[in-house]
Amino acid sequence: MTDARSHRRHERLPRTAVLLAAFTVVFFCLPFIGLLWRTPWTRLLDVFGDSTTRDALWLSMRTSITAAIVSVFLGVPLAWTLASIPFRGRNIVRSLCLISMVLPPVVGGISLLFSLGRSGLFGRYLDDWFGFRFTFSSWGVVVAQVFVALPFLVLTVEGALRQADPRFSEAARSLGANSWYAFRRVTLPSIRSALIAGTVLAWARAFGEFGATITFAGNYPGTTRTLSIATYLSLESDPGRAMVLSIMMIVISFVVLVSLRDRWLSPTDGARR
Amino acid sequence: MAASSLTDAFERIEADFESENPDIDVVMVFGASSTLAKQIVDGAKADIFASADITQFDELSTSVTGDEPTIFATNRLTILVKSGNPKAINGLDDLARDDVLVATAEEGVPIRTYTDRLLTAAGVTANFVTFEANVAGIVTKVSSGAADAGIVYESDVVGTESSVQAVAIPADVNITARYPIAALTNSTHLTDARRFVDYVTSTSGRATLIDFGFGEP
Repeated sequence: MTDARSHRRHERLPRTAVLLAAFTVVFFCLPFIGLLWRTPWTRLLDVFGDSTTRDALWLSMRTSITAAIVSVFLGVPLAWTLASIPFRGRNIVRSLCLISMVLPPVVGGISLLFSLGRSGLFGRYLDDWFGFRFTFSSWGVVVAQVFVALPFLVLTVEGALRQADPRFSEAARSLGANSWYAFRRVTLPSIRSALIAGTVLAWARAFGEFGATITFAGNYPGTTRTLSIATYLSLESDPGRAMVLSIMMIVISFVVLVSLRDRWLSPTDGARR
Repeated sequence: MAASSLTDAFERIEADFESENPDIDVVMVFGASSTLAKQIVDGAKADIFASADITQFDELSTSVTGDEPTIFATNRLTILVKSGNPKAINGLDDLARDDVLVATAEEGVPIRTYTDRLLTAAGVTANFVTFEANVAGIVTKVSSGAADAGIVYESDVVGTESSVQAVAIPADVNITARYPIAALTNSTHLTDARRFVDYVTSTSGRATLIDFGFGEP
């Protein structure tokens, strides 16, 4: 793998492109350097040791991982349908499912509040019939996160499915496999890297989600106050704490994204191998 | 820069002021007073600061110089409920009920400071279910029916949709929020800024504020 990659990549780039690339890297680094410079490092231990921080981190972990899993279960069939069935209005359906990527998250939160909220168009029946509420509950956090994170998975997986060679799954089916079996055993392994990349991106988006969450689910310690909400709100009362929490979020997200190595970002490594 | 509770009143005052002074263009920035104070300390260019609480001026005084703040309006607290008051909330005591979900703001936001002071004095432990980023968040949670009640300023009830109504808090326990305003002396338009402050504190400025639910200073 490594060998194949290294002699494929040594292309000569124009100097301007490299300079612009370097500029962009600096552009991404500067804010973090600024943050690191202002962070009150002496407070690191007291903020990390604080039980409210641990509660927020634990809640963020639970909800974002749940949201990523839900996104896979809902997003893969959606991506598969969008990639394989050329129905009328497919573009409209796709746009509808991706729109939350570009919406201000607060708009998503308000829409969720009016639809699935405690007195929302549909949410009121959940409350009346089952006594179940998304609002002010951790499930509400998960719904808000899925709403904004799902498109990242759909986009990544659909792209890979469109590039995957359909002949393999056709061959599997001609040998008697049903479509689910062919999809699970042939197609899915061939887009494994895209699926992992999409899942991790969806997780990262869910982990950082803030606007839709506070608007739809609210903010209460232990049930709905995620690490990103805690970070934003401590800017008001305790900026030093907000900076330490920001560092925490950056480190966690960075570690996860670094583990998403190059090879997982290529759309269809399975087929090439 | 002005406290978000002033949004509607100040937009009207801005229009009136600009028609009287066509050479001056006032640009308004609204936000939680605490956030705005922090932005000014961090170097945001502001000519005037109008806060929902005098403590934000103490915060400013460490790094920004300004005129002596004038109290230009007052605001009292009220209980915001869904219109028709389906949960029969008649006073502060009802906020402690298990079946009444109460929204408030995060610590550090003036409305929360006032709310805590009010509830402590009344000896009520409210059934808080969410700590919003600002007053607008509280209003949204109540108007959408996600929460049953929230304590907000009287001025917040004026001009909101008919989906909410106010339940008065008796005057003997209510708290008066005082709104200070001042031109900041490092302003690049200090004369214009002082003219605007004078307008806000004038009789016509005060009349507008009263229209929008504020009280006399």
